[in-house]
Amino acid sequence: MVRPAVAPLPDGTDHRTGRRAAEPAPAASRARRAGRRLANGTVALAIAAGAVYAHTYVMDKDDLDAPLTTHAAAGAVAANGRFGMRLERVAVTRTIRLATPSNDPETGAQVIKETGHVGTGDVFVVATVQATSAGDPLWLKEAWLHTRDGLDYAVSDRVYGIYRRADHPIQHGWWSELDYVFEVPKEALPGASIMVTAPSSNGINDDIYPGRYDQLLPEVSLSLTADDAATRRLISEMAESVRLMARL
Amino acid sequence: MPAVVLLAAAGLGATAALGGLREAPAEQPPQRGAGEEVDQHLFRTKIENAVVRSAPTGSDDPGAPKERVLELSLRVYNNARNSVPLEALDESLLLIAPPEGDPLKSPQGGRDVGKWRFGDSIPGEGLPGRTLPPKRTSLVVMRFHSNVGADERPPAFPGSLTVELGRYENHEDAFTGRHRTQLVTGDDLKPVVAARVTIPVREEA
Repeated sequence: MVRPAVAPLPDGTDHRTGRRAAEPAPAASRARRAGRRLANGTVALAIAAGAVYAHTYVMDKDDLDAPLTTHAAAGAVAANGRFGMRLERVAVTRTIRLATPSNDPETGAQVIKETGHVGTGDVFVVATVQATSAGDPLWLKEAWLHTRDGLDYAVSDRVYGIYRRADHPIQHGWWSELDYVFEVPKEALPGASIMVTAPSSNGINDDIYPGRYDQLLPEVSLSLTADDAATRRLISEMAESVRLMARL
Repeated sequence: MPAVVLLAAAGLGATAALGGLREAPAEQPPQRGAGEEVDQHLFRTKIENAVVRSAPTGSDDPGAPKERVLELSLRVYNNARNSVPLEALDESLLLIAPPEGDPLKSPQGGRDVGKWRFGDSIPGEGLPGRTLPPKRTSLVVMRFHSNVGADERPPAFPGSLTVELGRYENHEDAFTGRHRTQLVTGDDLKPVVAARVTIPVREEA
Protein backbone atom coordinates (compact mmCIF):
# COMPACT_ATOMS: atom_id res chain seq x y z
CA MET A 1 0.00 0.00 0.00
CA VAL A 2 1.38 3.35 -0.94
CA ARG A 3 0.97 5.95 1.68
CA PRO A 4 0.98 9.62 0.60
CA ALA A 5 3.67 11.66 2.18
CA VAL A 6 2.14 13.90 4.74
CA ALA A 7 3.95 16.82 6.21
CA PRO A 8 3.41 17.55 9.91
CA LEU A 9 0.80 20.15 10.53
CA PRO A 10 2.28 23.56 11.21
CA ASP A 11 0.86 23.86 14.76
CA GLY A 12 2.63 20.71 15.96
CA THR A 13 -0.47 18.53 15.96
CA ASP A 14 0.27 14.91 15.19
CA HIS A 15 -1.41 14.22 11.92
CA ARG A 16 -2.19 10.61 12.88
CA THR A 17 -3.73 11.13 16.26
CA GLY A 18 -4.68 14.72 15.76
CA ARG A 19 -3.49 15.34 19.28
CA ARG A 20 -1.19 18.17 20.04
CA ALA A 21 2.24 17.18 21.37
CA ALA A 22 2.59 18.41 24.91
CA GLU A 23 5.14 21.07 25.42
CA PRO A 24 7.74 19.27 27.62
CA ALA A 25 8.88 20.93 30.81
CA PRO A 26 12.70 20.72 30.75
CA ALA A 27 13.29 19.40 34.34
CA ALA A 28 10.51 16.78 34.23
CA SER A 29 11.67 15.46 30.84
CA ARG A 30 15.23 15.12 32.05
CA ALA A 31 14.02 13.15 35.09
CA ARG A 32 11.82 10.97 32.89
CA ARG A 33 14.69 10.33 30.49
CA ALA A 34 16.98 9.40 33.35
CA GLY A 35 14.33 7.09 34.75
CA ARG A 36 13.84 5.41 31.38
CA ARG A 37 17.57 5.01 31.00
CA LEU A 38 17.79 3.41 34.42
CA ALA A 39 14.92 1.05 33.60
CA ASN A 40 16.50 0.14 30.26
CA GLY A 41 19.82 -0.47 31.95
CA THR A 42 18.20 -2.71 34.54
CA VAL A 43 16.40 -4.72 31.86
CA ALA A 44 19.59 -5.05 29.81
CA LEU A 45 21.52 -6.20 32.87
CA ALA A 46 18.82 -8.73 33.71
CA ILE A 47 18.85 -10.10 30.16
CA ALA A 48 22.65 -10.32 30.18
CA ALA A 49 22.63 -12.08 33.57
CA GLY A 50 19.95 -14.46 32.31
CA ALA A 51 22.04 -15.24 29.23
CA VAL A 52 25.07 -15.95 31.38
CA TYR A 53 22.98 -18.19 33.65
CA ALA A 54 21.44 -19.98 30.68
CA HIS A 55 24.95 -20.85 29.59
CA THR A 56 25.26 -23.16 32.59
CA TYR A 57 22.70 -25.38 30.83
CA VAL A 58 24.96 -25.81 27.79
CA MET A 59 26.03 -29.46 27.64
CA ASP A 60 29.74 -30.17 27.74
CA LYS A 61 31.42 -32.59 25.36
CA ASP A 62 31.04 -35.49 27.78
CA ASP A 63 27.29 -34.99 27.84
CA LEU A 64 27.04 -34.39 24.10
CA ASP A 65 28.79 -37.68 23.35
CA ALA A 66 27.14 -39.70 26.14
CA PRO A 67 25.20 -42.85 25.23
CA LEU A 68 21.57 -42.57 24.21
CA THR A 69 19.61 -44.49 26.78
CA THR A 70 16.37 -46.38 26.28
CA HIS A 71 14.60 -46.93 29.60
CA ALA A 72 12.35 -49.86 30.38
CA ALA A 73 10.26 -50.77 33.39
CA ALA A 74 11.05 -53.97 35.28
CA GLY A 75 10.46 -56.90 32.92
CA ALA A 76 9.72 -54.76 29.85
CA VAL A 77 11.79 -54.80 26.67
CA ALA A 78 14.14 -51.91 26.04
CA ALA A 79 15.02 -51.82 22.35
CA ASN A 80 17.40 -49.52 20.54
CA GLY A 81 18.85 -49.65 17.04
CA ARG A 82 21.43 -52.28 17.94
CA PHE A 83 19.83 -54.66 20.41
CA GLY A 84 16.84 -55.32 22.60
CA MET A 85 16.98 -56.52 26.18
CA ARG A 86 14.60 -57.33 28.98
CA LEU A 87 15.11 -58.27 32.59
CA GLU A 88 13.88 -61.80 33.11
CA ARG A 89 14.40 -62.28 36.86
CA VAL A 90 16.46 -60.99 39.75
CA ALA A 91 17.79 -62.83 42.78
CA VAL A 92 19.64 -61.42 45.77
CA THR A 93 21.97 -63.56 47.83
CA ARG A 94 25.10 -63.53 49.95
CA THR A 95 26.66 -66.67 48.52
CA ILE A 96 27.07 -67.85 44.98
CA ARG A 97 27.85 -71.52 44.44
CA LEU A 98 29.80 -72.22 41.29
CA ALA A 99 28.98 -75.51 39.60
CA THR A 100 30.46 -77.36 36.66
CA PRO A 101 28.50 -79.98 34.75
CA SER A 102 30.14 -83.11 33.44
CA ASN A 103 29.05 -86.49 32.16
CA ASP A 104 29.46 -89.67 34.16
CA PRO A 105 31.82 -91.86 32.10
CA GLU A 106 29.85 -95.04 32.87
CA THR A 107 26.22 -94.09 32.69
CA GLY A 108 26.52 -90.98 30.52
CA ALA A 109 24.23 -89.12 32.86
CA GLN A 110 24.95 -85.50 33.60
CA VAL A 111 26.71 -84.90 36.91
CA ILE A 112 26.86 -81.43 38.41
CA LYS A 113 29.80 -80.82 40.68
CA GLU A 114 30.10 -77.74 42.82
CA THR A 115 33.62 -76.48 42.45
CA GLY A 116 33.62 -73.45 44.69
CA HIS A 117 31.72 -70.54 46.09
CA VAL A 118 32.06 -66.81 46.56
CA GLY A 119 30.60 -64.95 49.50
CA THR A 120 30.20 -61.32 50.43
CA GLY A 121 29.31 -59.17 53.40
CA ASP A 122 27.14 -57.07 51.08
CA VAL A 123 24.82 -58.75 48.61
CA PHE A 124 25.15 -60.28 45.20
CA VAL A 125 22.49 -59.27 42.68
CA VAL A 126 22.06 -61.98 40.07
CA ALA A 127 20.11 -60.49 37.18
CA THR A 128 19.08 -62.77 34.35
CA VAL A 129 18.36 -60.91 31.12
CA GLN A 130 17.25 -61.93 27.65
CA ALA A 131 18.65 -60.14 24.66
CA THR A 132 18.42 -60.13 20.90
CA SER A 133 20.39 -58.26 18.27
CA ALA A 134 18.93 -56.10 15.52
CA GLY A 135 21.74 -57.01 13.13
CA ASP A 136 25.24 -58.25 13.76
CA PRO A 137 25.96 -60.66 16.62
CA LEU A 138 26.90 -58.89 19.84
CA TRP A 139 28.63 -59.81 23.07
CA LEU A 140 27.27 -57.81 25.98
CA LYS A 141 29.54 -58.89 28.83
CA GLU A 142 29.77 -55.56 30.55
CA ALA A 143 26.97 -53.98 32.50
CA TRP A 144 26.64 -51.44 35.28
CA LEU A 145 24.25 -51.29 38.18
CA HIS A 146 23.22 -47.65 38.35
CA THR A 147 21.88 -46.59 41.74
CA ARG A 148 19.37 -43.89 42.56
CA ASP A 149 22.06 -41.58 43.92
CA GLY A 150 24.16 -41.89 40.78
CA LEU A 151 26.77 -44.51 41.66
CA ASP A 152 27.72 -47.14 39.09
CA TYR A 153 28.81 -50.63 40.11
CA ALA A 154 30.56 -52.78 37.52
CA VAL A 155 29.79 -56.46 37.03
CA SER A 156 31.61 -58.39 39.75
CA ASP A 157 34.88 -59.88 38.61
CA ARG A 158 34.65 -62.52 41.34
CA VAL A 159 32.24 -64.57 39.24
CA TYR A 160 33.93 -65.47 35.98
CA GLY A 161 32.13 -64.98 32.69
CA ILE A 162 31.82 -68.72 32.08
CA TYR A 163 29.38 -68.94 35.02
CA ARG A 164 27.10 -66.26 33.64
CA ARG A 165 27.01 -67.12 29.92
CA ALA A 166 28.89 -63.90 29.13
CA ASP A 167 30.50 -65.38 26.01
CA HIS A 168 27.22 -66.44 24.44
CA PRO A 169 26.62 -64.35 21.34
CA ILE A 170 23.45 -62.30 21.10
CA GLN A 171 22.08 -62.78 17.62
CA HIS A 172 19.35 -61.59 15.34
CA GLY A 173 16.20 -63.66 15.30
CA TRP A 174 16.00 -65.11 18.79
CA TRP A 175 16.46 -64.23 22.40
CA SER A 176 19.51 -65.48 24.31
CA GLU A 177 19.82 -65.51 28.06
CA LEU A 178 22.75 -64.30 30.14
CA ASP A 179 23.35 -63.30 33.75
CA TYR A 180 24.90 -60.23 35.31
CA VAL A 181 26.25 -60.49 38.85
CA PHE A 182 26.82 -57.32 40.87
CA GLU A 183 28.28 -57.04 44.35
CA VAL A 184 26.64 -54.04 46.00
CA PRO A 185 25.59 -52.84 49.45
CA LYS A 186 21.93 -53.50 50.22
CA GLU A 187 21.19 -49.76 50.34
CA ALA A 188 22.05 -49.46 46.65
CA LEU A 189 19.12 -51.61 45.52
CA PRO A 190 16.05 -49.33 45.80
CA GLY A 191 15.61 -47.48 42.52
CA ALA A 192 18.55 -49.18 40.87
CA SER A 193 18.70 -50.07 37.20
CA ILE A 194 20.96 -52.14 34.98
CA MET A 195 22.74 -50.26 32.24
CA VAL A 196 24.09 -52.08 29.19
CA THR A 197 25.83 -50.21 26.39
CA ALA A 198 26.35 -51.50 22.87
CA PRO A 199 30.00 -52.02 21.99
CA SER A 200 31.75 -49.41 19.88
CA SER A 201 31.24 -49.86 16.15
CA ASN A 202 33.43 -47.09 14.74
CA GLY A 203 36.40 -49.41 14.25
CA ILE A 204 38.88 -47.22 16.14
CA ASN A 205 40.89 -49.09 18.74
CA ASP A 206 42.33 -46.53 21.12
CA ASP A 207 44.46 -48.22 23.76
CA ILE A 208 45.12 -45.11 25.80
CA TYR A 209 41.53 -44.03 26.07
CA PRO A 210 39.07 -46.72 25.02
CA GLY A 211 35.94 -45.15 23.67
CA ARG A 212 37.55 -41.78 23.03
CA TYR A 213 35.71 -41.27 19.75
CA ASP A 214 32.50 -43.10 20.58
CA GLN A 215 29.47 -40.91 20.37
CA LEU A 216 25.85 -41.56 21.28
CA LEU A 217 26.26 -45.31 21.71
CA PRO A 218 22.96 -47.13 22.12
CA GLU A 219 22.33 -48.04 25.73
CA VAL A 220 19.50 -49.66 27.65
CA SER A 221 18.47 -49.04 31.23
CA LEU A 222 16.39 -51.80 32.82
CA SER A 223 14.72 -51.08 36.14
CA LEU A 224 15.69 -53.70 38.66
CA THR A 225 12.34 -53.74 40.45
CA ALA A 226 8.94 -52.17 39.90
CA ASP A 227 9.09 -50.03 43.06
CA ASP A 228 10.66 -49.78 46.50
CA ALA A 229 8.17 -52.23 47.98
CA ALA A 230 9.27 -54.80 45.41
CA THR A 231 12.89 -54.11 46.37
CA ARG A 232 12.15 -54.67 50.05
CA ARG A 233 10.39 -57.91 49.16
CA LEU A 234 13.39 -58.94 47.06
CA ILE A 235 15.74 -58.33 50.01
CA SER A 236 13.48 -60.00 52.58
CA GLU A 237 13.14 -63.05 50.35
CA MET A 238 16.90 -63.24 49.94
CA ALA A 239 18.03 -66.67 48.77
CA GLU A 240 20.43 -68.58 51.03
CA SER A 241 22.63 -69.10 48.01
CA VAL A 242 22.34 -69.08 44.24
CA ARG A 243 23.93 -71.70 42.05
CA LEU A 244 25.48 -70.59 38.78
CA MET A 245 26.51 -73.24 36.32
CA ALA A 246 29.46 -73.08 33.98
CA ARG A 247 28.08 -73.11 30.45
CA LEU A 248 30.20 -72.90 27.36
CA MET B 1 71.08 7.47 31.41
CA PRO B 2 74.47 5.87 32.09
CA ALA B 3 73.68 6.12 35.81
CA VAL B 4 70.52 4.04 35.33
CA VAL B 5 72.42 1.43 33.31
CA LEU B 6 75.16 1.38 35.96
CA LEU B 7 72.59 0.95 38.73
CA ALA B 8 70.85 -1.89 36.88
CA ALA B 9 74.16 -3.64 36.23
CA ALA B 10 75.16 -3.25 39.88
CA GLY B 11 71.81 -4.67 41.02
CA LEU B 12 72.06 -7.61 38.63
CA GLY B 13 75.65 -8.21 39.73
CA ALA B 14 74.68 -8.14 43.40
CA THR B 15 71.79 -10.57 42.76
CA ALA B 16 74.10 -12.91 40.89
CA ALA B 17 76.79 -12.65 43.56
CA LEU B 18 74.30 -13.44 46.33
CA GLY B 19 73.00 -16.48 44.46
CA GLY B 20 69.64 -15.06 43.47
CA LEU B 21 69.91 -16.31 39.89
CA ARG B 22 70.62 -19.92 40.79
CA GLU B 23 67.92 -22.47 40.12
CA ALA B 24 65.80 -23.25 43.14
CA PRO B 25 65.99 -26.85 44.36
CA ALA B 26 63.13 -29.02 43.17
CA GLU B 27 60.29 -29.14 45.66
CA GLN B 28 60.23 -32.44 47.48
CA PRO B 29 56.94 -34.32 47.71
CA PRO B 30 55.46 -34.49 51.22
CA GLN B 31 56.68 -37.32 53.40
CA ARG B 32 54.08 -39.51 55.11
CA GLY B 33 54.22 -42.39 57.53
CA ALA B 34 52.42 -45.70 57.83
CA GLY B 35 48.65 -45.32 58.29
CA GLU B 36 48.63 -41.71 57.12
CA GLU B 37 46.20 -40.81 54.38
CA VAL B 38 47.47 -39.71 50.97
CA ASP B 39 45.07 -37.85 48.71
CA GLN B 40 45.40 -39.14 45.15
CA HIS B 41 42.23 -37.35 44.00
CA LEU B 42 40.75 -40.58 42.59
CA PHE B 43 41.74 -42.51 45.71
CA ARG B 44 42.48 -41.70 49.32
CA THR B 45 45.10 -44.21 50.26
CA LYS B 46 46.49 -45.34 53.58
CA ILE B 47 49.43 -47.72 53.54
CA GLU B 48 48.80 -49.71 56.70
CA ASN B 49 51.67 -52.13 57.05
CA ALA B 50 54.22 -54.32 55.33
CA VAL B 51 54.68 -57.85 56.60
CA VAL B 52 56.90 -60.74 55.54
CA ARG B 53 55.05 -64.01 56.06
CA SER B 54 54.69 -67.52 54.74
CA ALA B 55 51.94 -68.05 52.22
CA PRO B 56 50.91 -70.93 49.97
CA THR B 57 52.41 -70.54 46.50
CA GLY B 58 49.06 -70.99 44.78
CA SER B 59 46.63 -68.61 46.41
CA ASP B 60 43.59 -70.85 45.76
CA ASP B 61 44.99 -74.04 47.21
CA PRO B 62 45.68 -74.00 50.97
CA GLY B 63 47.65 -77.27 50.78
CA ALA B 64 50.24 -75.92 48.33
CA PRO B 65 53.87 -75.58 49.45
CA LYS B 66 54.62 -72.39 51.32
CA GLU B 67 56.94 -69.57 50.39
CA ARG B 68 57.98 -66.33 52.04
CA VAL B 69 56.21 -63.29 50.62
CA LEU B 70 56.09 -59.61 51.43
CA GLU B 71 52.56 -58.33 51.88
CA LEU B 72 51.72 -54.65 51.67
CA SER B 73 48.26 -53.78 53.05
CA LEU B 74 46.50 -50.63 51.88
CA ARG B 75 43.16 -49.07 52.74
CA VAL B 76 41.87 -47.41 49.60
CA TYR B 77 38.82 -45.17 49.43
CA ASN B 78 37.50 -44.95 45.89
CA ASN B 79 36.41 -41.36 45.38
CA ALA B 80 34.93 -41.95 41.91
CA ARG B 81 31.23 -42.42 41.28
CA ASN B 82 31.82 -45.77 39.59
CA SER B 83 33.76 -48.98 40.19
CA VAL B 84 37.43 -48.66 39.34
CA PRO B 85 39.68 -51.60 38.42
CA LEU B 86 42.64 -52.19 40.69
CA GLU B 87 45.02 -51.51 37.77
CA ALA B 88 44.39 -47.81 38.35
CA LEU B 89 45.84 -48.15 41.83
CA ASP B 90 48.80 -50.19 40.53
CA GLU B 91 49.62 -47.43 38.07
CA SER B 92 49.54 -44.76 40.75
CA LEU B 93 52.04 -46.59 42.98
CA LEU B 94 54.95 -45.26 41.00
CA LEU B 95 57.81 -46.79 42.93
CA ILE B 96 58.05 -49.31 45.73
CA ALA B 97 61.66 -49.72 46.79
CA PRO B 98 63.91 -50.27 49.81
CA PRO B 99 66.21 -47.34 50.73
CA GLU B 100 68.93 -49.04 48.72
CA GLY B 101 68.86 -51.99 46.40
CA ASP B 102 66.55 -53.21 43.68
CA PRO B 103 63.07 -51.71 43.55
CA LEU B 104 60.17 -54.09 44.13
CA LYS B 105 58.06 -52.16 41.66
CA SER B 106 59.37 -49.47 39.36
CA PRO B 107 57.85 -47.39 36.60
CA GLN B 108 60.06 -49.03 33.97
CA GLY B 109 59.45 -52.59 35.06
CA GLY B 110 56.18 -54.34 34.46
CA ARG B 111 54.46 -56.74 36.76
CA ASP B 112 57.23 -59.37 36.79
CA VAL B 113 60.36 -57.69 35.48
CA GLY B 114 63.38 -57.69 37.75
CA LYS B 115 63.87 -59.66 40.93
CA TRP B 116 60.33 -59.26 42.21
CA ARG B 117 56.90 -59.90 40.84
CA PHE B 118 53.65 -58.90 42.47
CA GLY B 119 49.95 -59.47 42.45
CA ASP B 120 47.28 -57.52 44.24
CA SER B 121 43.69 -58.17 45.15
CA ILE B 122 40.84 -57.27 47.45
CA PRO B 123 40.46 -60.32 49.71
CA GLY B 124 37.03 -61.89 49.76
CA GLU B 125 35.32 -65.08 50.80
CA GLY B 126 35.95 -67.79 48.23
CA LEU B 127 37.67 -65.66 45.61
CA PRO B 128 39.39 -62.28 45.81
CA GLY B 129 38.19 -59.41 43.66
CA ARG B 130 40.03 -56.78 41.65
CA THR B 131 37.46 -53.97 41.48
CA LEU B 132 37.19 -51.06 43.90
CA PRO B 133 33.53 -50.22 44.55
CA PRO B 134 32.55 -46.53 44.43
CA LYS B 135 32.60 -44.28 47.53
CA ARG B 136 33.85 -47.03 49.80
CA THR B 137 37.06 -48.05 51.48
CA SER B 138 38.49 -51.41 50.47
CA LEU B 139 41.39 -53.37 51.85
CA VAL B 140 43.92 -54.06 49.11
CA VAL B 141 46.70 -56.58 49.63
CA MET B 142 49.77 -56.41 47.41
CA ARG B 143 51.88 -59.55 47.54
CA PHE B 144 55.48 -59.56 46.38
CA HIS B 145 57.22 -62.83 45.46
CA SER B 146 60.80 -63.35 44.45
CA ASN B 147 61.11 -63.64 40.71
CA VAL B 148 64.39 -65.53 40.35
CA GLY B 149 65.00 -69.05 39.11
CA ALA B 150 65.09 -72.02 41.47
CA ASP B 151 68.91 -72.24 41.30
CA GLU B 152 69.41 -68.60 42.21
CA ARG B 153 69.34 -67.18 45.70
CA PRO B 154 66.07 -65.30 46.29
CA PRO B 155 66.53 -61.60 47.07
CA ALA B 156 66.56 -60.63 50.74
CA PHE B 157 63.49 -58.91 52.14
CA PRO B 158 64.13 -55.23 52.82
CA GLY B 159 63.91 -53.74 56.31
CA SER B 160 61.83 -50.81 55.17
CA LEU B 161 60.07 -49.64 52.06
CA THR B 162 59.51 -46.29 50.41
CA VAL B 163 56.39 -45.97 48.31
CA GLU B 164 55.93 -43.10 45.88
CA LEU B 165 52.32 -42.33 45.08
CA GLY B 166 51.09 -40.43 42.06
CA ARG B 167 48.01 -38.30 41.79
CA TYR B 168 45.11 -38.49 39.37
CA GLU B 169 43.34 -35.59 37.69
CA ASN B 170 40.21 -35.15 35.62
CA HIS B 171 42.06 -34.57 32.36
CA GLU B 172 40.47 -32.92 29.36
CA ASP B 173 41.29 -34.67 26.12
CA ALA B 174 42.74 -32.22 23.60
CA PHE B 175 41.12 -33.88 20.58
CA THR B 176 37.62 -34.54 21.80
CA GLY B 177 37.18 -32.12 24.70
CA ARG B 178 36.03 -35.04 26.82
CA HIS B 179 37.32 -35.93 30.27
CA ARG B 180 39.06 -38.93 31.69
CA THR B 181 41.04 -39.71 34.78
CA GLN B 182 44.78 -39.85 34.32
CA LEU B 183 47.94 -39.39 36.33
CA VAL B 184 49.25 -35.86 36.71
CA THR B 185 52.48 -35.60 34.74
CA GLY B 186 55.30 -33.10 35.02
CA ASP B 187 57.12 -31.18 32.30
CA ASP B 188 59.10 -34.33 31.49
CA LEU B 189 55.80 -36.20 30.92
CA LYS B 190 56.61 -38.52 33.82
CA PRO B 191 54.02 -38.93 36.58
CA VAL B 192 54.47 -36.47 39.43
CA VAL B 193 55.10 -37.90 42.89
CA ALA B 194 52.30 -36.60 45.12
CA ALA B 195 53.58 -38.13 48.34
CA ARG B 196 56.26 -40.46 49.60
CA VAL B 197 55.43 -42.98 52.30
CA THR B 198 58.11 -44.77 54.28
CA ILE B 199 57.05 -47.89 56.09
CA PRO B 200 58.98 -50.45 58.15
CA VAL B 201 58.76 -54.11 57.14
CA ARG B 202 57.76 -56.49 59.92
CA GLU B 203 58.81 -60.15 59.97
CA GLU B 204 56.30 -62.80 60.91
CA ALA B 205 56.87 -66.44 61.57
